[in-house]
Amino acid sequence: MKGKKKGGWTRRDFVKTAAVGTGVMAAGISFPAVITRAGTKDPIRIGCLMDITGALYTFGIWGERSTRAAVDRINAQGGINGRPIKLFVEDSATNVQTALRKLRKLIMEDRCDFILGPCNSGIAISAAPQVESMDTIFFSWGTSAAITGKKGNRYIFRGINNVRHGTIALGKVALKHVGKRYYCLGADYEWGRSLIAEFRKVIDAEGGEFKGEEFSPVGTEDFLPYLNKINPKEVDILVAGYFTADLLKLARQASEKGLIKHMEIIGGAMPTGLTVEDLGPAAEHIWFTAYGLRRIANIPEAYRPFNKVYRDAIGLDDEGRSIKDGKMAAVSYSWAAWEHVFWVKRGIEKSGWRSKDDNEKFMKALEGMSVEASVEFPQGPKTMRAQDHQVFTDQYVTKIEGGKFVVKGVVKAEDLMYEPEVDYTKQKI
Amino acid sequence: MSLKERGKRWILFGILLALLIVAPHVLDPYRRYILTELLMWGLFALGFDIIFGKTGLLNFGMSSFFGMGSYGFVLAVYHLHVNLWGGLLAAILVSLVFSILVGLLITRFASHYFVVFTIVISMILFLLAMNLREFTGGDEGIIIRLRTLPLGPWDVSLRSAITKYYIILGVVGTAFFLVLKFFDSPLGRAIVAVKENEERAKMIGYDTARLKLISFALSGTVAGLAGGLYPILNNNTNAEIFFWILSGKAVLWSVVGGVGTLWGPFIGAGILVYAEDLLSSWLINIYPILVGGLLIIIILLAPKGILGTIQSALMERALQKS
Repeated sequence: MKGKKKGGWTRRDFVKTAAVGTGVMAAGISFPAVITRAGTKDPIRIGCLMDITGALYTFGIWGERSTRAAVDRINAQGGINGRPIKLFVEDSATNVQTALRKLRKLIMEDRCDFILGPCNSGIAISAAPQVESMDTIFFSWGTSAAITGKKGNRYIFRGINNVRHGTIALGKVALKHVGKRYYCLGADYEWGRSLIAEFRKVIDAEGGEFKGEEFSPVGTEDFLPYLNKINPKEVDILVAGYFTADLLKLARQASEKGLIKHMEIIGGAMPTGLTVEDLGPAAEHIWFTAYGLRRIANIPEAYRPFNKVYRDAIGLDDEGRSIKDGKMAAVSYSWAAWEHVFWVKRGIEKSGWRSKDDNEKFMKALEGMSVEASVEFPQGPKTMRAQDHQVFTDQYVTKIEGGKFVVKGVVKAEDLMYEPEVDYTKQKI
Repeated sequence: MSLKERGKRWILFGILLALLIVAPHVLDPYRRYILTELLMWGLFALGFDIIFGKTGLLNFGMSSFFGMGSYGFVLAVYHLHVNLWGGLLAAILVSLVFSILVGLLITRFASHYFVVFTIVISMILFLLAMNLREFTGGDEGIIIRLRTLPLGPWDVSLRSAITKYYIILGVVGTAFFLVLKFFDSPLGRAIVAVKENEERAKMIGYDTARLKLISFALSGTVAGLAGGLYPILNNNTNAEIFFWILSGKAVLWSVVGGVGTLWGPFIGAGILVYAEDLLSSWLINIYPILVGGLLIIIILLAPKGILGTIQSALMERALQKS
């Protein structure tokens, strides 16, 4: 052939091949997009980013099991709008840097449509700008108030109450059942002080009588110098701004000093992964707030059958222990990971979501949505507030009595309301 | 180093740079992100290699400098509303001043005390960052939004991952080049002499305390500059970056890659981060054991680190030939 060596290439050959190649590549690039819009049977890709190893592994393991069980249930029933869910699981290692890498893996490589994040608040907040820039909706069950405040954005939803709800519930219930005179003792750093300040706001609004406050340095071993300043005859409630280990230490020393006869301690959230025996006798003097209940006997009767289905699906007994190994689970939180899958389902069903192009429709569908107690929402009825994407649901206050957790009070969702810090509905997508 | 060897090294550097320039257009978005992250972690571990591999001072508190750089960047952007360049300048200045102050205090200590002090300083900073939430955001951190990058008369959008990649590549490449040049200079060689034999260095007239301080400041500034890249990549920073685990990673990456080689930390970070990423996705429940196993195998097979062992083998071969 003229102008062409055997087995060689002419400029025309090159141009032709390049044109065909470019066409194929262009088709290859645009083809998936066409499929996504048209192929209604394509799986909905959900990323599950949990703290499976590291400090919060108890939460992560049960969060992952809850998510898997919920996905299996939906798939067994035919998926969402006829589309199955494909689940991708990654471990955050309870570490922000690892979590951000895994988040990108789920979105960029696994092409996940939704991310169900861990209970680690720091990770949720760090993830907020990433998911916004990658146009992916993210659910968190971390309890820091900031997640659904100024550090969040329209892509972030939270299906569990936050620490503010816990504080409001503890303040209200303790004032009703224990007394009005209160004294505050907290760790002398920002977290301890802000928790005490939050408690004071709630208790003062409920008509509490402030008797004084004191802050101990971080890592205090001996609380007696601080406890000695309290006149037990004048105080009904000791408000404690400490993490669980220090809270137990404080309760033990207050008990030894004999203060507990006259007053009760109100503290943080119900400890996770620890049995009543692990907590020790001092814990009997502490009133804890709870986002869910570990003993099925404490759960309102109307929700109990739904909760039973949830527990069976993830292998938990009626006391909140793993059926497999008897270890205490994170059941007072992990229901949120189960419910998050169903929030996705409800949002897709209501909005007709088919791909990320419909994210705004999905957001609008969930904003302000209320759900009733059901197998899908075994913790109880709740509403996703439109402005800040924060769920409002009943909050419990519990205490150990006779070696078991008992419910001392339930504060209804409508009594837990506070002003939203933000209005995400105005955020353009 | 002979002229020929030096030439070979610059050719290698050039080839690598060319590959890194092309890489974001070849790699898929996630691999591109990993590569961007690896450049940042490599620079951070390079900071450790400067102080340990080249100077012989074991700094177990590298996260302090990374954290200072990161917060220097974020606070400058957040409060002073500076642009990306201003943020990076703040990261450099904050970590430089911090490392000089710390260096003045601790580089005169003997090795054991030095190690303990570096750990203590990083733990103090971690606790401060966790507790001063109004200032640092604590474990929730501070979110920043960098929209554009001023480049002369143009404003380049920072929404593109490729733009971020090239910014980070540019910063890391420049810093790495300057560090290589520094250790080729008489001052850099004097620092290495302190590591080889401090007493002899003193005998021939070197002010070893000053040399160690210079190396400490350079190491801290390089780690701090890497810290300044963290918010560019992630739009936020938080107190967790001061935690000792990050210091431990710098040590591991350098040891695996090859201590004292300067290139090694990048190789070590690349292998370990990528291996962990792959294994954790495939075998989610047992991957920490596998990563640990991999680490043991590498250290057993290549006690001087991957690059260190290769360099030793090449040197031995050259000696045998000659």
